[in-house]
Amino acid sequence: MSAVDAVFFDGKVSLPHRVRVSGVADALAIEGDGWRRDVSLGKVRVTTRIAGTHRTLVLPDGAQLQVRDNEAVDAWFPRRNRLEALVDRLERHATAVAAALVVTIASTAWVVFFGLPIAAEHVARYVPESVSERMGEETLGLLPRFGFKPSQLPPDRKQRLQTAFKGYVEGLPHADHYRLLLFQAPEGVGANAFALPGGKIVFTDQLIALLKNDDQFRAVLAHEIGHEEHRHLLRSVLQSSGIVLVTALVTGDVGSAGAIVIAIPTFLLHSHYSRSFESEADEFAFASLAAHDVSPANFAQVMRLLQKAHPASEKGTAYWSTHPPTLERIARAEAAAQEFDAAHPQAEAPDDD
Amino acid sequence: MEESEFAAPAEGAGGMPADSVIILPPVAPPLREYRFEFYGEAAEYFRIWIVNVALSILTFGVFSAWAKVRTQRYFYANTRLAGVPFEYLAQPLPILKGRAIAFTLFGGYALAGQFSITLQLWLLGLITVLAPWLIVRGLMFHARYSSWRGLTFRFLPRYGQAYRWYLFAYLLVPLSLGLAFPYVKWQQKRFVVDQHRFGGREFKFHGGSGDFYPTYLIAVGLVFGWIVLVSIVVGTLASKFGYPSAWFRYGLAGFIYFGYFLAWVYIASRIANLTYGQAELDGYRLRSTLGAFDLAKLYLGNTIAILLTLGMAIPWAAIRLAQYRAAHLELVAPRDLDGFTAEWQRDESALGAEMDNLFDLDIGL
Repeated sequence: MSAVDAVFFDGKVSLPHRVRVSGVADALAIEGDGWRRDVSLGKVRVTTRIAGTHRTLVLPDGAQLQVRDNEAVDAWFPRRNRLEALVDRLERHATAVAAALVVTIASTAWVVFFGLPIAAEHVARYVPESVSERMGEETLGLLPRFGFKPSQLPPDRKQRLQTAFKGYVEGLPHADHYRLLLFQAPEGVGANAFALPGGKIVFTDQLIALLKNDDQFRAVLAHEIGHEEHRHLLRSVLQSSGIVLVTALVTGDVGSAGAIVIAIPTFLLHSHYSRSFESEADEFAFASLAAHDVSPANFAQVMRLLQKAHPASEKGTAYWSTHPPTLERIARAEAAAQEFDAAHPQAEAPDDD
Repeated sequence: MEESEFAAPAEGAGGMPADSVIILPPVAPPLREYRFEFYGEAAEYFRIWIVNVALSILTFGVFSAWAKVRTQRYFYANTRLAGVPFEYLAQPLPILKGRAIAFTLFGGYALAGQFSITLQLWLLGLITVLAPWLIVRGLMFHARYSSWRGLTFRFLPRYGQAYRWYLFAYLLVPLSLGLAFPYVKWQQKRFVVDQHRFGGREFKFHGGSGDFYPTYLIAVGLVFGWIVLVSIVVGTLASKFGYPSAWFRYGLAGFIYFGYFLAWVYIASRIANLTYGQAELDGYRLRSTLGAFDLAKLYLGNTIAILLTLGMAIPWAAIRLAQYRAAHLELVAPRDLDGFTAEWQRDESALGAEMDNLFDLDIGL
């Protein structure tokens, strides 16, 4: 076999030597300026092939050979680093690169849109009730810091709401863990309701003031119970953590583009998940209301009232919105109301002001 | 290609005739400058990157350790000093171990925050207490598997110092109302530089902690000025157009973040220049000339490209950064580069090396 050029370092001094290297049977012959060294091939450690970069051969005494001729090195060590030799071939093969691109995009998309939500749903089922309970307590403890104040509603109003609440949750599988909490919300939150893990349903005074009757209260309540029954908050937390992980894995050691490269996809996908949760909670609410002999039309009325109260919030119906467009939700509620009316011909339609 | 392996350095002042009898006043020896060069290409690296990402996905992250070694080897092999490439000699398995540990720690920390703040605080405490040790292990690992011209770097561990400057010194920061921060950073850089060895010689960190102060003061001024400016503009607009829309508020957050980003890039470039500039290896010095403005443009372009291509521009971004960094780093040498020798203090390092093999890990700090 013909000899190839290489650079030799003895591992003791940083002086480079220009040498010629050739494979002779099961040994490597290194010829320098007036010297020659034979090294058994089995005792040489070889770095793997990567693109067109040089290969380094580490000799038993720590000396190094840098060889640019990749084909020659592969011929000397045909059976070394088989895994990485395969990876190297893939990297140089156009079809393999295209396949890698497809695999990466397809699997990332699948994980993000299907895998994570499914996994989160399963994991959420195995998270013990005590953990959700703790999560809810932690969030509840933080509310005063965000400007939530004790409810200012008159005691008899509170009493009536609690009675309506108890009456509604009675038939549910976890009836005893549901609790209604009332707060006066800060300026930015306003008329709102939300479910905390562990069955704590929070209504703000502002929302109560907006609602016209108990059935409208039940309509919002049913939606929030939907979040809780489907363990949405827990799943949302699990999914968002998963997104951060996936993004960090794919972007890896970029280090250059900063936190924003992770923050923006996390934010967009969080909104995406949130919207699918809202739709799921709506569907739950329509079915639950019908089961309680309450028309889903009440839900549509509340959505209209909220739209009137927060006209500004309805501008963003784009991808980053955390809720589906209100008009779409109203339309679906009304479709559900029609089904309800068809099933309850004698029931009186709630008056729509 | 062959020729460049022995590229002759640019001569400084001209040589003197050896047989001169006239006694001249002592002249500083001529300094030679050796350039760092980066030969990586975006298209070539993209192929490596995408194949390795796909394999990492298909193996549920296990291959990522091999991917890391391949990436490091690609960047090292394409970085040359005086025409000779660097060498990354680490094996994937220790890296896989390190990644598993880091993954568990940080993943646990992130998840714990959602369930129990107490648990998260405990994990944060654990990570904080482990951090200096992990930093030292990471530096040792990195140094031992980095080699140039057949000689490896070395990092001498001094855990007491590490705990002092990476943990306890942070207590000074709030006590001094933040004024001690540049001092702590300076001590950390000094520790990292001083503990490195190459070619039988020690790195020395020169200068004083005062050198770091102007950089941080300017950065603080930059952020402060930026916030004042944005507040004035927003205040004026809000009084004209009423309550700002959601769009506007996101835009505002982005603008404020941009100010922090500029300050961060400024600090990163200045501190890198100072740190390289103050490091000396037995008369050999480094000269780093990163420009804050250039770097900001580079990072901004990278970020936009990565977001627009859903991550596919990551290899291009990484290559651009490596090119810029190499183009702005030089070695200023009093002699040629042939006289470095291997470390011979085997007796001192033997136990250390054994221990290293037990705890070999790299968490990519």
